[in-house]
Amino acid sequence: MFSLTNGEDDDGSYVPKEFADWREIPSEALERSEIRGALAKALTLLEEHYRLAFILRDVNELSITETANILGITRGAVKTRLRRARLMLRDILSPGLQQGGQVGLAFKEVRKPWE
Amino acid sequence: MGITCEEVWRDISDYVDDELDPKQRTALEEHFAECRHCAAVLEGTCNVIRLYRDERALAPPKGFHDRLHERLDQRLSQGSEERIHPSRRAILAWALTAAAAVPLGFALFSARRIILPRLEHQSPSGSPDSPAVMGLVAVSEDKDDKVFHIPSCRYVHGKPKFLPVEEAIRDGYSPCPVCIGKRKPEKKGVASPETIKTFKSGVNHS
Repeated sequence: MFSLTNGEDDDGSYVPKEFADWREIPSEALERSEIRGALAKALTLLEEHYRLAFILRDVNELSITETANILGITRGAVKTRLRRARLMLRDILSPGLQQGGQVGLAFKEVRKPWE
Repeated sequence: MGITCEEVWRDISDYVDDELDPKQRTALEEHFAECRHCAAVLEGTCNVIRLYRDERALAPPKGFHDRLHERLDQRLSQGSEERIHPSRRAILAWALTAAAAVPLGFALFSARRIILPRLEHQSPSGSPDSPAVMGLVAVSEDKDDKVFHIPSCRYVHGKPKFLPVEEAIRDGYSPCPVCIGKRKPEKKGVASPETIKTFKSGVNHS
């Protein structure tokens, strides 16, 4: 399992690695088990503190303040973790999901277009 | 273009949450109108959030409840004797290892074409005396209520912790009656609600 955070500071800065267009995924895609599997698997690739903030805020739909209270951190820290978590998940999932909901490439190491 | 791409990436999450002041917001929107890369990042970020907010995204996979209740039943029958047959122990160890290797193992049930396409078939879940239950559940880290939930359940009190369901069962947790227990399995021979109720005391000391 590769780490997505090697060499990065914990200040929330994150450089997106995938710039291809990702058109809206039809809601029906979630009926497909491989899409749901890809979403669950992608979460495991995040470090625990990013995963927690993301699950509370974006899966359980708590507010930033509620998330901060539960985790015992500041609102600013929640926002920092959310930023990293969301952009990392986007990078993990984009290569597979951008093309009509296919996930066959979802866990291929992300590429940097400028390299 | 007033701001750089780096500044946009720094603020994009706050933009989605509407946490920016109007001036910053306008600056980002002007940038998105001109920079297709950043517009793609915004689109993808919104897609990610929209997908995960759908209640189907992390719902337990098909057959989860049947396997869970079957596993609890099996655990109950073993719990009082505090011993596991060596072959069962080996199977259980294998199952736990597999579960630990894939913490959010819902993928195991559903992923047919991605990383772990065959693990489900290799798992001992088909064995009648050791139904493995894969998947990640949430427990309360600071409240010792010994209840586990599906990750999106609102009844996880306090700070949550996520662990493989097999580990939760082993540690004596019982399923949340709201998010897991309410789906009474129809399969013959699986645990009744009464059995699950007594499960906790049965395995706490095993």
